[in-house]
Amino acid sequence: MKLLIADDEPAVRALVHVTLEGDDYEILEAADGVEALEVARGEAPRLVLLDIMMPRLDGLEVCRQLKADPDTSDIVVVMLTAQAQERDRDQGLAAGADDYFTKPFSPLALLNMVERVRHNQSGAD
Amino acid sequence: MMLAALVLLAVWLRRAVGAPADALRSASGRLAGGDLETPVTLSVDNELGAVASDLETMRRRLAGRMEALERLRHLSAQVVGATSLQRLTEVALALVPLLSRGRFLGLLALCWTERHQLDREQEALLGLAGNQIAGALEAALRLEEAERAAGEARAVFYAIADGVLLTDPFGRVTAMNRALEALTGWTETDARGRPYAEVLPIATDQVGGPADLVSRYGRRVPVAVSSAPIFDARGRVVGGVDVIRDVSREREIDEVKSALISTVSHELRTPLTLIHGFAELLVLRDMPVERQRSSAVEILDASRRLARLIDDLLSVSRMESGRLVLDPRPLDLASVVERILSPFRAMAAKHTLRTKLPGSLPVVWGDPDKVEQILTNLVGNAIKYSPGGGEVLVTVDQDGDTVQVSVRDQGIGMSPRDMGQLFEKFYRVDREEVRRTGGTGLGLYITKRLVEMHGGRLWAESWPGVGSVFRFTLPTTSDELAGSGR
Repeated sequence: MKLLIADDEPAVRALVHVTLEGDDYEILEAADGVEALEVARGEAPRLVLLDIMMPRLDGLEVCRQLKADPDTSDIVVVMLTAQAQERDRDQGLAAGADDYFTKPFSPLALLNMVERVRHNQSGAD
Repeated sequence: MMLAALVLLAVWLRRAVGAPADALRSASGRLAGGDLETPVTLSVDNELGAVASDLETMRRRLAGRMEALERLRHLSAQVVGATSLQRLTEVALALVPLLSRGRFLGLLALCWTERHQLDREQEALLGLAGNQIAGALEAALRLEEAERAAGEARAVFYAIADGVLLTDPFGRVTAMNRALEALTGWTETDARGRPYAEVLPIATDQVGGPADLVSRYGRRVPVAVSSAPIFDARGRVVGGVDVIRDVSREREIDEVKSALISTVSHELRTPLTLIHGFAELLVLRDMPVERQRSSAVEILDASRRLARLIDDLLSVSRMESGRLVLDPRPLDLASVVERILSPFRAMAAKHTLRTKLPGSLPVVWGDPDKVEQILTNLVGNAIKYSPGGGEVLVTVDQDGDTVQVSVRDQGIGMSPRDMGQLFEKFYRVDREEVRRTGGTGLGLYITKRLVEMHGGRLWAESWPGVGSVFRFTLPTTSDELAGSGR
């Protein structure tokens, strides 16, 4: 399964890499919002992990644009952010995100979530 | 015998009646003569004594009347003296005091040019007229007082710094002050009679969220509004008052504060995420040894970053509260430069670190630890932001009473936009290369503050893709360096 991690912190991308590695995931990376949109449109991943505070285009806007476009609206979007205030979570869900992880997050919880998405996908196929 | 008895009776009568009757006669004579001062006393216990007592009462009343009359006469003389009445050749004068609730308000004077005697009816009429005039006078005085109070209230209303709006019971504008005119763009003349909501449209982006006033020309101003009904004496609502305060400044401070908290929270959570994440993977997952090692390195890096961030935050807090105190002394800048460069030389593989120092440098006045911190930060940045390598050149020059130090790199450089915000707290250039360095966004802010605490200046020049130069000055001192080899 193809998934995209968009976060401006290289170390966070590395953490997601290490968390999911060895399980047959094709992991794509983006370091800012514009790049995230490009990769999501070009590569059509099943899942996008989106940081909110990103250069050029923030994660909320990326999520909104993905969900507004019929070609990308099926992509499961999970917000991954350091903002823990309730208002931020509500904004994420209002932007159309499917789930929400607050930093610091548990990599195994993230792995479970990704596997659930993969399971749903194979069930649907 | 009969004669003798008659004589005796006459003597007795004379004693009992004759002497008191004489005293009474002389007392009434005094009264008739105008002497109202001498009291009438006759201590005999019979009818003559009673007459004397009545006479004394009359005398006291008369004396009182005369005194009042005298006062009135004196007063009228003053009135006549003070007015044009003097020019009248009046023969008769009637004065009526104007009293309202016991307060003396004035005097009603009537003059006749011929002899005139008031009859009872005229007297009563004059008394009535006096009361009416006194009542009207009192009302006029009260009106004047009310007008003065209203004038004061009006002056306060128009001069008050917050916007104030008055409405009638139907919510139509009756008055607005200058501050509200400035805030809304409406003039009082234009606004008068219009519905409240038209003059004061309030917009909120979310329910319960902050309220913005929309001005006549569409400008939005954050405001705090407090309203109250206006009651008349019988408790009926006769209108409303709204006080509208411009809270832009407060809102701004709030936003800066919450942005700072949000930034600090974000900056703290990022290294925490890495520590938590990699530690959990190490504990719960089987990983090849080299993966374990790289995960441990990530944890180590993140912990260092967290510690650095906390140090920087504490420095900033100490600086801003004035608790960071310098310990300045004469300093040999050349040796400080050499000392801070050596660890960089040991680490930097892609960079060449060069210095250009004049043969003799004046002694600099500074806190050795802080000057090292300034230089370390600038040289560290020069290396961090020239990922392709190249030369980092540290130059020291004397410039009058100051020494100028410059750190030049051949790195990624900055756009003019970035330069504008470079020294702001938590400002980080929005670039992947910058993000990768894991800085706190506080380094240059702290460095600038440190230089300024020394009485120096820090500034930068930069060219995107070519490199940057950071320069700062430090004051020199005429003091000799104690125990220095130079």
